[in-house]
Amino acid sequence: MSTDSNNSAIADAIAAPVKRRDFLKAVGVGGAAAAAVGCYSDQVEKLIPYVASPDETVPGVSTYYASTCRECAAGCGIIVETRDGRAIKIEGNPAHPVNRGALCGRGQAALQGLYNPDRFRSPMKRQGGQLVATTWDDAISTLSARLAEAKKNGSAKDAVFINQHEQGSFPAFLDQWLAGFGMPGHIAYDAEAPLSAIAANKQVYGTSWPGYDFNAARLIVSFGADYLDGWGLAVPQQLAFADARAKIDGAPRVVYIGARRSLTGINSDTWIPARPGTLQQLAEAIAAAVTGRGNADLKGAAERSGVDAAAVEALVAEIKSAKPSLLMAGGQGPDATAAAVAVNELNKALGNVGQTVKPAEGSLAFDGLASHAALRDAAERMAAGRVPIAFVRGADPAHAAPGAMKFADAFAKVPFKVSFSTYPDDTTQLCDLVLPDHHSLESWGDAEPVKGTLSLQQPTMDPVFSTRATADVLIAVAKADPALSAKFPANYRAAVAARVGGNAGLTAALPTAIAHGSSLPAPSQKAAAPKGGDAAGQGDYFLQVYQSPVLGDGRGANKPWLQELPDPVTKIAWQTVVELHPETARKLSVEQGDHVTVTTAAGSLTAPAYLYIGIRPDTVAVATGRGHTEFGRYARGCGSNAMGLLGVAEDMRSGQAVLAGTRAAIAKASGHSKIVTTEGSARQHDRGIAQAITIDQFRAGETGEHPHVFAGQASTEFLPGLRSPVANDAQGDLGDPNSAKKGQYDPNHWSGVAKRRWAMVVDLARCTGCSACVTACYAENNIPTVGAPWQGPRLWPSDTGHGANILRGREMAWLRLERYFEIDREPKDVEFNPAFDTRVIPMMCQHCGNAPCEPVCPVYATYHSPDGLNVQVYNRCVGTRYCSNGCPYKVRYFNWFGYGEPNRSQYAFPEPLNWQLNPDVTVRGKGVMEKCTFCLQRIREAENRAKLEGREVKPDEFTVACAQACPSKAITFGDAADEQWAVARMVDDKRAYHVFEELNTYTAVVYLRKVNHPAAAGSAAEAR
Amino acid sequence: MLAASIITTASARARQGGTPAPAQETLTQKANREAAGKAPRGPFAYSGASGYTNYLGGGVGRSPVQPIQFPHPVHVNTLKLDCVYCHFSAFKSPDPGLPAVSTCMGCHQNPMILPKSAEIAKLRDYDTKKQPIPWVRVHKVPEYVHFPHMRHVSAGVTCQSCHGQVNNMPQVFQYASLNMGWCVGCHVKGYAPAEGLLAAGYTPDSAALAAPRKRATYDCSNCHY
Repeated sequence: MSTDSNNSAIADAIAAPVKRRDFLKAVGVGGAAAAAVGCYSDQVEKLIPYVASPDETVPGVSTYYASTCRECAAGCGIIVETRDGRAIKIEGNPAHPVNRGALCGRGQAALQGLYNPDRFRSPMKRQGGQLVATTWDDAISTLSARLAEAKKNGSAKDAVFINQHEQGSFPAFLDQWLAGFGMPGHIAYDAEAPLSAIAANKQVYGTSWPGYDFNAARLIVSFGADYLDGWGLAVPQQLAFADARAKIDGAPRVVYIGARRSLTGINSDTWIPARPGTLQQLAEAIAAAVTGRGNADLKGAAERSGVDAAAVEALVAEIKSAKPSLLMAGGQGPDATAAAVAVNELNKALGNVGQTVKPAEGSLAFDGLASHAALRDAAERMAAGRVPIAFVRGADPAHAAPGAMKFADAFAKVPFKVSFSTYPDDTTQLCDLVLPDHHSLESWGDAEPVKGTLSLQQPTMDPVFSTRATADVLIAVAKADPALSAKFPANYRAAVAARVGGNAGLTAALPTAIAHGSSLPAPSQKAAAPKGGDAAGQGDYFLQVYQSPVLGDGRGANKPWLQELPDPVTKIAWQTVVELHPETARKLSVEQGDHVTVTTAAGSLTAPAYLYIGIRPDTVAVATGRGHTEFGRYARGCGSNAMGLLGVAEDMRSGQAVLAGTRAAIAKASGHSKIVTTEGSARQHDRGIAQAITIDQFRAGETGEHPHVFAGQASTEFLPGLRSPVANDAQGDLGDPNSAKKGQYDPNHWSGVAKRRWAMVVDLARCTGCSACVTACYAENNIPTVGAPWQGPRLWPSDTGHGANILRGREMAWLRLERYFEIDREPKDVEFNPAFDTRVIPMMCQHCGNAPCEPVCPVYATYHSPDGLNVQVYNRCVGTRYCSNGCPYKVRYFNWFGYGEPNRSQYAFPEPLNWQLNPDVTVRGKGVMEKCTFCLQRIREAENRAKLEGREVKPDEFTVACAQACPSKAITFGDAADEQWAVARMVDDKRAYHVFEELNTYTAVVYLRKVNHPAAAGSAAEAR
Repeated sequence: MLAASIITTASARARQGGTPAPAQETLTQKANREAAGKAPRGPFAYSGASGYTNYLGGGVGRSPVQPIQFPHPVHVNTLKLDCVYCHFSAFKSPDPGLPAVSTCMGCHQNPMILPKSAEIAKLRDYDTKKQPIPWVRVHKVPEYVHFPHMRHVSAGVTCQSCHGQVNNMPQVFQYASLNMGWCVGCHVKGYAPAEGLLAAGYTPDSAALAAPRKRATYDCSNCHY
């Protein structure tokens, strides 16, 4: 078409009333517009059916396997969704007593461990300094020969086996195997385990981990116990905490004592910022003041801890009056165990034991753990050349042990090193022989998270690679030894079956994976007597190394979902930062992003500074979890390892590594890096996004700082066939032309599609900001991660590296957790003040009834569906991004690169990570806008299922992925136009509000205000 | 050019319908001869926006050669097998299902069935080697479209409405364009049971003729997500 006729087409269009679509036609004809999202091509596609169809499998319909999560020690029950033989999603098992259907982000990301592209694909053997692939026969015979030799010459007694701490019968099985070859018992290592609390619990309560009843407490005081950050049993604690806080009236007040306001700290009403390493004195003084026994020098203790004496006195008064209360002590300073003992004794004295602390309902998750001192002892023997053979499985002490232990150097001195790990982690890369284990989703196992409850682990699919279950390898090796052959079962499945009454019992228990029955005696582990080291060192600052709530001790770092998940407190992804208080930064003339060097007696670390108002000015903090030298493409070289700053020192009484309280010097270094963060501003600027009220306001029936702009309850907007004026011309014959509210979908339309109004309620009194929902959303909706170094833009070399796309605001998280600090000044100007409120709010597409994104789309790629959804049609989208411009919630995300296209370098799912992709959801291509769909595929699946069964969708029959995973049960989804759905009742709550209600967007997401419980009036510790 | 040649092939095959029966004819050959040409070429529906523009009419008439020349006519017309005997999940899953080798072997393990057939020998070979049969896909909607077979089948839509008379195709070809205009055509107009029966080659009875059109919604989000 010539330019002239093109112009005349535009002229014609201008002369007549232009409809949106015609306008684009007129403009678009000049250029060839080829919007292609996975179009048909001449490529020959194959349809591969089964050779023999397995029973109970229907192609295109999911099969579910119940199993047990092995990502941390807790032992949550999971349900693994498999489709056509591949695991595609992990969800919590609602029938499981530990996690009641919820699951944290780390548990969900186990899939990216299973499909990790860097897993060992076969056994490996060191030849010429390199690990090269070998056969299983060769690997097993090599190991057998070495073991036979060690057994014969008596060197086996000095062997070391470091195993990832786990529950169940495997540890005992392993020790039996080791004993068979004359080797000592294994070291059950877990760098994340709260050893100080465990030691104190054993001493005071007689159990390693009691049940904590948050719900019964009137007051919760944490002495550095980060019970929402992964300390202890993450999911059950969060469930209990959220249930307690959701009571609103009668909910416990929460106090946090610690040098850094962690995720637990920002969810507390009051923060008492005690100096690192002073918890013991503070706890003992408080205990003395409460009980009236011993030296109750509150003023002195407060001074030494660097906190306001009035705040401590108020806390003492509160502990005395609030009954029952729940006191927990974590902390990882040199005095952590002593502090925990004092706190536990105080619980006892207050009569809390039996009411809020229930030793009889304890968990076995931490039974059998070795202390940190046991590992150090092994490292010392290795360094002295006294260990002839060493094994490692799952654990990665070369990365997770304190740097001054020089574990890697010591380990390298062992003549023969064997790894059973499935990932090429820092320790395994040093080994001479690798016999990669199955992933937990491929193998048999068991756990006993609660006394008397056995939780089974079963294979959910065929192994992805040529790996073998370690237990079966051990059996194969034992069978090669005539003296041992008879002592071992044919395979490990038989050993698991033996625990539940044989094969029949196993088959019967597998549908839920939960068996009730007797328990085996827990394997015991005698730790060597711990030796103390010098924790103090030199420097003007205290260093606090804290365990990342997302990456843990580093085992999450090879999973891109977790690398990309912003830390719940700092909102930083793909990066290690040094957290400084703005006051400290001003003193050092450091601005956010400037590099600073932290130097301790053990080592130094240079990283960008992050100004955090929730840390003491005399303390700096660095998170664990990054800085691997190996561990695959996502972990290698990303960030720095905070453990390198730590000296070899354990708490004398528990053998816990001392992570907090080390002296450090801070200096400004040359260089500056942008902070890889997904947040725009940490302030709300009076926009009323995350709202809160105090308990007094709640009782008085007030609505807080942002009353409803429009009178009436939120629920009045939830009409079926919601009016959607702006999308009227898209409704076709579903629109009601006679409606007084022009543009309303006809609720009486024959199709019945306009009778629903899908909506969501998020209870901010429950939400802790843990971000498990974000990972659930990534898993369900095929959301690409964009932060790997090779996914960034190519034009500016300075912008490459980890998180380059995120620096340019190009992250893809459909659901993000926003975190706001309630202070009016910019962070760099803040003076230290522990009394600030923090708000967290999950933000996703609000599915506005009156959506600003809809009228601006020139191609109707986004429109309002009759059931109340703001729909994005990928194949219509031409990528103008007008909708994103129009969105006041900033929840639309654009595919800048071909994250979903395998032939592009930015591809987010390198084989076999793409096996995880949800077949029910389109993988979006380059140039397409995308956003939260309210899990449209789940809605349609429920409708299809109901239709096939000849019925309507039942109230609360299904839910969306974020709501399903939430370990706080903060999200409720359903049809707000039908009173039978839970969500329809919740939108009437008097705490309900819409974000940006004044914009008249009629959102389908209702938030319930957070409720703060400030200290009684007159207290110095009053939170805002 | 490719499109034209494929359609030429299809029409050449249509002409074979008139060839006389050879002297020594197997049951399969007989069924194929009788069926050939009876399946009408698909309904023409042009869509410039479809990815299928390589082919006139959006891929209608594409007829790839399969690893085994599976003769639908003898299985359906002569032996009266129901479609869902092999496509076993068409009424309960978005995916209609393809028979496993073991399903085929349920009958074909009997060595008396056409012992000299080269095609059955291939099948036995796959079974012996425990390998699946790599069928070449004929019907495909783009990956941004979710087509639930079970909703259509359980609503009474005949398979032939979309796939044509596969029972009369010695080698399966694409019958309909499968582009969006073609889908929406039926969703807007509604599905007439009588038309579906006619498409399947049956004569509709009076009840079917009197039945009202079944209407379906055509909201974008029904299929695109």
